[in-house]
Amino acid sequence: MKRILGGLAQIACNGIGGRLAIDVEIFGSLRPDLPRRQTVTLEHPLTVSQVATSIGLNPDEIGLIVIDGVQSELDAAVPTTCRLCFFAPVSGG
Amino acid sequence: MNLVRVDMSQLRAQFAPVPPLYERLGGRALTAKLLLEEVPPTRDALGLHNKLIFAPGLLAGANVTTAGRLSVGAKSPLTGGTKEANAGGTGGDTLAKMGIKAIVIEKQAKPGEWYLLHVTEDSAELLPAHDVRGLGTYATADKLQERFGADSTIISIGQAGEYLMHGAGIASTGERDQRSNHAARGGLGAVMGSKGLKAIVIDNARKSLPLADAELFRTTSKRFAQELINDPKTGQKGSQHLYGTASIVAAVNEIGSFPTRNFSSGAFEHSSELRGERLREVALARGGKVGTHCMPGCVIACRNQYVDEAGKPIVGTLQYEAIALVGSNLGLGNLDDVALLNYMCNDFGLDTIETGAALGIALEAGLAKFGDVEGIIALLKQVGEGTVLGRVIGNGAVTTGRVLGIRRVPATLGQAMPGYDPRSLKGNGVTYATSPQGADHTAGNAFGARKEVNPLAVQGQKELSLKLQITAAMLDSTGLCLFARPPVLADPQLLVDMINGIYGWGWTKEDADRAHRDVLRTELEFNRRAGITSADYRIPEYMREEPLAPHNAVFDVPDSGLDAVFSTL
Repeated sequence: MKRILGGLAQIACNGIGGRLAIDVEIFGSLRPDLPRRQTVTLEHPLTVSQVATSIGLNPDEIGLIVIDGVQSELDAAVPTTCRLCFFAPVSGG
Repeated sequence: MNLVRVDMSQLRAQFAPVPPLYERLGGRALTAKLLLEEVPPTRDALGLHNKLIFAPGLLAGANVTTAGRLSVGAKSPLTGGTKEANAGGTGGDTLAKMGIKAIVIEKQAKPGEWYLLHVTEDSAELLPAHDVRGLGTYATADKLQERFGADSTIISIGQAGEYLMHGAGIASTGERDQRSNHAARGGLGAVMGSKGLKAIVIDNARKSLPLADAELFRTTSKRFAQELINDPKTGQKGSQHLYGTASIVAAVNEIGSFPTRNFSSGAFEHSSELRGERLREVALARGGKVGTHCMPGCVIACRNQYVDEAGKPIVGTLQYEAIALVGSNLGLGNLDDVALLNYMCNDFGLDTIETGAALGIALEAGLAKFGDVEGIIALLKQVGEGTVLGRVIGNGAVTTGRVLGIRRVPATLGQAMPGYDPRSLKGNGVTYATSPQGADHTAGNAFGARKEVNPLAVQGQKELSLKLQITAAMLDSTGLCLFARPPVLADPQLLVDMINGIYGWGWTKEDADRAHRDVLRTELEFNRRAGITSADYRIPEYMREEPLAPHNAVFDVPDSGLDAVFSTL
């Protein structure tokens, strides 16, 4: 019961069949032909991977993903409004 | 192979056999072991009994790509414990080709006397260094290469090392325009200065390293290089090559870990001007260079030569840590300003991390304003001049905070934190608070770790840090650059085969893993015997209480967790 309510709460927060309006920024060597920054409006719900594909990115080429300043992964659900950043593979020294 | 033992009191340098205990050690493994065996841990780091060791890694001298980093080790005057810092350039490969396992500098010259050590394939002698005394590292290198040959490697200290400042590092020349590669951390430049040693000149080597199994070695080292070329991070289209380490500025800022105004925030409003993309754009537009390398044969080539508007070189190379610590940490959002400060630190022979942190504290104390580059330059000049205030700043973040009455000092084990605020990247906080090296990102950098932990959460950080610290020990002991880790992490047998190809030891993966863990055990034991306790390693109290924007994060990995990091070592 708790799990069902939790799931419903998640859907309620993110909307059911609503639209995403997210600020997407691409950094570094990732697809230099794509716009570096754009506002994307898509049908919701979507994962990070789906958003990436929809704007022309190959998910396999993405290094780091950050949503509203928090590191995330390809299978994460994207909030209805957020700042979503895609980085090329990078590592610290 | 031989050791070169240099007695600065007797002014005598001689080749000596390698004791069996050291035979299978290189780089950081060797410096750690030699310190534990030969340096009483409680003695003065700037005194007679400390030893300064220069050791190539196990893979040096065999033309393994990126394996020429040179480890420098001693008891650190900054941390009070064991210290290893390593530098790119040409020193590591050259010494290994000469059959020199390490140079060990012992005792001290008479006060006021300065020497250089000239090393050839067959000899090592100490010569007076009056003509380079008081010079910065760039002028020292220029003068000594004029005298000994343009293809010689010059290892030197600047004024900071001569003044025995605890923020002093050791510079080494590299290939072509990469004039300044630094074993920067932990005050090793002060140790070199305390010996009366201004420089080491290493002639170019004509010998090559004999190989125990040439076929095995050539196959595996070729595969290693190819895998780096094919890797999306390190290949020709990868971020490291295109933008250098500045490629991470945007990401570190985005996750809220970018040191800003004395670590008072984790995001800098002018970070876009400091990004790797901007650096590349500006450098190329002005006739500078990107994608250069510090040592021959490196396939990654992450260095650059940053130039001014007239195309005149400011610094080669401008990298992430300088951009963070003498950039955003000082409120500076202009790469030209950062490059100039970086050049000054290099020339004075200062660790940019330690100095940047000290300057950030000085600015918080009101000695100049954040973002006021002229005010900051004036402070940094004093370090090179050795004024009283300059000596305060040159002795690092902790000293500067103490003298100026500033509590917010970003340091652990007495050493300043590098360019990742641990409140938003807690894995790095665990490394800073447990590594025997003190606050050192190269000892175990959690940035970019995917699918393992949430950088803002407590869970999983200590396990991640331990894994990274073992990896760092491996890289530092083999001479490999940190960025070359992907292939050897994906297939540890690759590293073992390269080692067996050179030495014929018949190592297994388990032997290698044990050797790398032993590095940490050795270092932790030295620190324990030096009297260092867990309290000395702790994250500063204010970072546990003062939330860091933009996430309002504090460092909340419990002390009990930190104390357990090495329980499975």
